[in-house]
Amino acid sequence: MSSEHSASRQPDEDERVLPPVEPGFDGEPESAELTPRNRGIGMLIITAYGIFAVSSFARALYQILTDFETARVAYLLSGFAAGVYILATLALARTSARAWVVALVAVLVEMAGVLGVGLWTFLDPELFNRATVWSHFGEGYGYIPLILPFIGLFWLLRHRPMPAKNRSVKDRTAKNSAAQQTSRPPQSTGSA
Amino acid sequence: MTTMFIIGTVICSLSTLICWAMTALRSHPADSSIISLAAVELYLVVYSIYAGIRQATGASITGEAWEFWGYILTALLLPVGVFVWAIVDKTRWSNLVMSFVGLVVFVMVYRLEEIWWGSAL
Repeated sequence: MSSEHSASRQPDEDERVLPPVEPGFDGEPESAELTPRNRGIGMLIITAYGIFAVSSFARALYQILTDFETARVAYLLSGFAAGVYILATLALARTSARAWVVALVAVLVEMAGVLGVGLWTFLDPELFNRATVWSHFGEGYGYIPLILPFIGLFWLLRHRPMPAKNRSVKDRTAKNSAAQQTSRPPQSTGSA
Repeated sequence: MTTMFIIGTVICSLSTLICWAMTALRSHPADSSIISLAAVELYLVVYSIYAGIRQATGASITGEAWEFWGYILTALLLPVGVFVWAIVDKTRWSNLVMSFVGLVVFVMVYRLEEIWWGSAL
């Protein structure tokens, strides 16, 4: 019976790993430690990434399927950009420490992409004879592709996963309970 | 500039303004924000029916037909997807998330008009 109990309890323990959201808490951007990074303002950033993921994917699919031969480099780059946006969206929406690293890499690749391709399209317009999301620093998309990675990076750095702090708290409580247990046996053996 | 485009612009901008106002006024997803998303979705349904009837009766469009319908499909999914995502966390930021729909749908309708008529304005 006790084994059944522990089996049914397990999901609860998993949920407890997530930082708790206080009831009635309004999600102030300043208190980064209380709001998980995929909540509050983070929802907005993920929405923006999601919209770019969907639209750049649709665009790349259309370009590659209809006239791939016209501008291979540009269209492959469109597909790559779509992949980066999809990866960034999924990683930003997850709360694990590993997702944070994946999101950071995706955002940095995105930043390098928009800056590199933006510059490249000005220096050598011939190679990119068809537009991509990142052409001319995202001109065709209201320069949002240029701003987005900076916002994403800012958000990720504001919301670093804090394993060190959490672990030390956990360790302390674990040690305390262990200490209590070791101090208890004399009493329990006495009663037994 | 077509009447449909003007109506779309009004609906999208109203939706965005309502969502922004509700971000300031409410600390939960406001009914008016959700209704404004429904209005945008309804507009897109009407737009696609109108375009469907026009094209079925032989009227041609300037751009590619399947690019046009690709845009309409994406636009139709957007208010639904954003709504579902916005109510995952019921805070005031849900309203701000929903304000994206008006902005993005406006841009998409602008593109649709370009594909349809060659120019939106």
